[in-house]
Amino acid sequence: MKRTWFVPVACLLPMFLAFSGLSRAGDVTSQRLVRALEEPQNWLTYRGDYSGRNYRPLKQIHKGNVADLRVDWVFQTGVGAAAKFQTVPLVVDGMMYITAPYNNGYALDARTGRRLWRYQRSLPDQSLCCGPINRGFALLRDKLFMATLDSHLVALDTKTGNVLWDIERADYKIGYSSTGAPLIVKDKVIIGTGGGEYGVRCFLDAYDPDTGKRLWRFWTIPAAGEPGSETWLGDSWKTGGAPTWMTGTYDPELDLLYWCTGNPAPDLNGETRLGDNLYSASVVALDPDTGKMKWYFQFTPHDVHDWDANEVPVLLDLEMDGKPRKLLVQSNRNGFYYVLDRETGEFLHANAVARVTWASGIDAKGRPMVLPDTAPTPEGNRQCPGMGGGSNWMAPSYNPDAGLLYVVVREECTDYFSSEQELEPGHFWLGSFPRVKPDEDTWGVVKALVPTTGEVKWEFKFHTPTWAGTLSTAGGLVFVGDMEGYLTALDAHTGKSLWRFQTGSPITTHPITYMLDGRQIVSVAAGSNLFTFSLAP
Amino acid sequence: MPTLARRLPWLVLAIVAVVLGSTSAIPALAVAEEEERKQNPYKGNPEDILVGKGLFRYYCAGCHGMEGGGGFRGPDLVRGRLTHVVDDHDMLEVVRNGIQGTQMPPQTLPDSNLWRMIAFITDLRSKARPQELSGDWESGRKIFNGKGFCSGCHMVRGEGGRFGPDLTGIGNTRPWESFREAMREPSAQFKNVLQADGRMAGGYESVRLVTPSGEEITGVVRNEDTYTIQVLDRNENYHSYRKSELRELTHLDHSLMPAYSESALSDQDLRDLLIFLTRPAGE
Repeated sequence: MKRTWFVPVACLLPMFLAFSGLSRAGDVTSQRLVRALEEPQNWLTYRGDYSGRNYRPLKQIHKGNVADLRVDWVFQTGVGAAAKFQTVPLVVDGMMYITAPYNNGYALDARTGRRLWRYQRSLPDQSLCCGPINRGFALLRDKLFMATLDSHLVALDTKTGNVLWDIERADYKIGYSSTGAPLIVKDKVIIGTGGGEYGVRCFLDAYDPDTGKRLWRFWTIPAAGEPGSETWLGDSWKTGGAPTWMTGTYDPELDLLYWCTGNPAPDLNGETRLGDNLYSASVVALDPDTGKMKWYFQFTPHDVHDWDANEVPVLLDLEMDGKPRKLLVQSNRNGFYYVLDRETGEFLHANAVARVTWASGIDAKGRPMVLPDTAPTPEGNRQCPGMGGGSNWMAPSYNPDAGLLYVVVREECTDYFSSEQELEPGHFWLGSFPRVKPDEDTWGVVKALVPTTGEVKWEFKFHTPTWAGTLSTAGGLVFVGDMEGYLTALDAHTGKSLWRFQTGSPITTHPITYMLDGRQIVSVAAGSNLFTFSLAP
Repeated sequence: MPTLARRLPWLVLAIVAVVLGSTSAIPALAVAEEEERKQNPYKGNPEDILVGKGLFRYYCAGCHGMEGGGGFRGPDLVRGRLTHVVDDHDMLEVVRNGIQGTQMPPQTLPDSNLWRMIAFITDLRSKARPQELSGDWESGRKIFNGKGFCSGCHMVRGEGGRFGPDLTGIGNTRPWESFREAMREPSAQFKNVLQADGRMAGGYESVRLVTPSGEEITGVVRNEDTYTIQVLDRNENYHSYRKSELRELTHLDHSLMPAYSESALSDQDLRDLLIFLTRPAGE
């Protein structure tokens, strides 16, 4: 009723909008993505904005009333994959867009949780790493972008879910796959690839959002003769992995795209790939227009424990040693927390945030001081962190009021076994076999760090090592899930648990928050359902 | 059952052969059948067995133990009788597809790696001493219900207690050595039981807790999470608490199952007990 005025306008608009790239009033443009935090009613990218802080300046829900938070609605996808519903919804002016396992996609009415359309993809009958998960859409103007398990990139129409284009990016049959959410930067769709467990050479791509044409490709492993290729033994660069499976971050002022890379392959047997194996287990800073590398920093040279560095490169502007600095911080899977200068890649600081047995520390240049006899052996070699990290891809978050960075750490150790393994295209190629220590206690923990020093201000323990990320709000809250299904709200200053809700399934993604009709909403995926919470009206 | 269906042609062939008193017409049929039954191309090759061992430890050891000797959830694959498997072909089917109605999941590895895991297990099985068990079923039944006090905690074929695991059928998957160890040193195996995700198997971890009112309860953990714990006590009563309200919560490092010395139950008593656990009366 209220919207009847819109109908004639809506009928006329398409005539003017048939030209690709033309923006409508209300369209989500690249410019709007730069200022995403100025739109409290929306959650426009995988991490809410380009900085990777997972922070929203919303405070209707705060320490004093979070105990009254209750479920608004639940959307049941019916897509079964326990612990695999890792989507992060996008919310745009009353619409919500989510992906689900097996490359399903949905548009929901954000007010009611009722479904408006569904996209279903037919996937090939092949096991791809690491299960049929998907972490979410990217959005630009009237298009949604989904990277698919079978290594395609699909553009869907926001109003209908119709497929606008569908391109093959790489051959899934030899192990390329995609699970991460793309990132829109300067009207380009930036998307990485998985495959670090399959002996393929990985890359990061940029695509034209209107046509699907590839604009550039950055290979994470230099080819023979290129700088850095000397860090790979023989032809091992051809099968060296270094995947780009998580979404990166972007600094619009410096115009630098930060993307992290995963393990060299085979994961746990380094004999065939002697050398530092650049640019695996690294962060690279790229020019988003060309894909050319400005600098890199390698966290774990010659990794043999599957310590991908795909964790979130969080961008913070803080004073350090009396000077304002543009920082990039990361809690790494290798057990250390790092602070870098994001203009130059200069190493500034590191300290252990989990139990670490493989290195005595990080030297002045940022290189780990590896202890002897820490590599996998045929008999099994116990090392910490375990193969899941340290930290992993679970989202950290930052609260500027508290001045704290919240990182998720898995406290467990692994027996790392090694054995020779020949490469069979399209099949797991670990070169070894890890196993979590059976007779040791394991737990998960959120740690609140002073970002410039890594000092721990508080920590909150979970019964089990968790795969869930965090969300920070100006209400002084940190929302985080756990493996037993609780969504918890912690006091951002003390770590005290103030509220919890049992979703009935492990939570393996991070929550989001936004304003709708004047009320602050929190949403999170768990099991095969999307839960949405608010205070009672 | 698919396995039985596959065994049937052989049974039929064998019966036909006996009835005819002549095998002249049979070999062609038998060979045709033989060709459909897959055989392990990696069997006996030390290098493949080593790779298979690594694969096994990654994919299977969580339930079946590091050396395939079994745990609470997965049976002993080395010395146990494999109820779903007759030959290599069955083994491949079972590992690839899992077993419906059990916790055995399917594996999506390529056949080459499945075969290597199977080569590892086959190698262990070929070296294991065959199980020769003689015992008295009736004596075992009496021990279970009498001097062993087993029925106070365990159920067999629908009768008995509910505090410990149901032991129906366990005799088929738990060979003599493993069973004997479980009786003599229950905590030794308790330590090595893992879930697929690396956590201790839920359901039989033991705790001692002190309630808000000061009552002390010892029992097995049927659920525990970041905030709450649910415990079954020896009287088969459930207790649910918020962990923050408990005066004390201690995770015990041993099983609540008592250790049976030789003077309590002799080895022959244990053999009788295992016979009783292996099959119902009259079989």
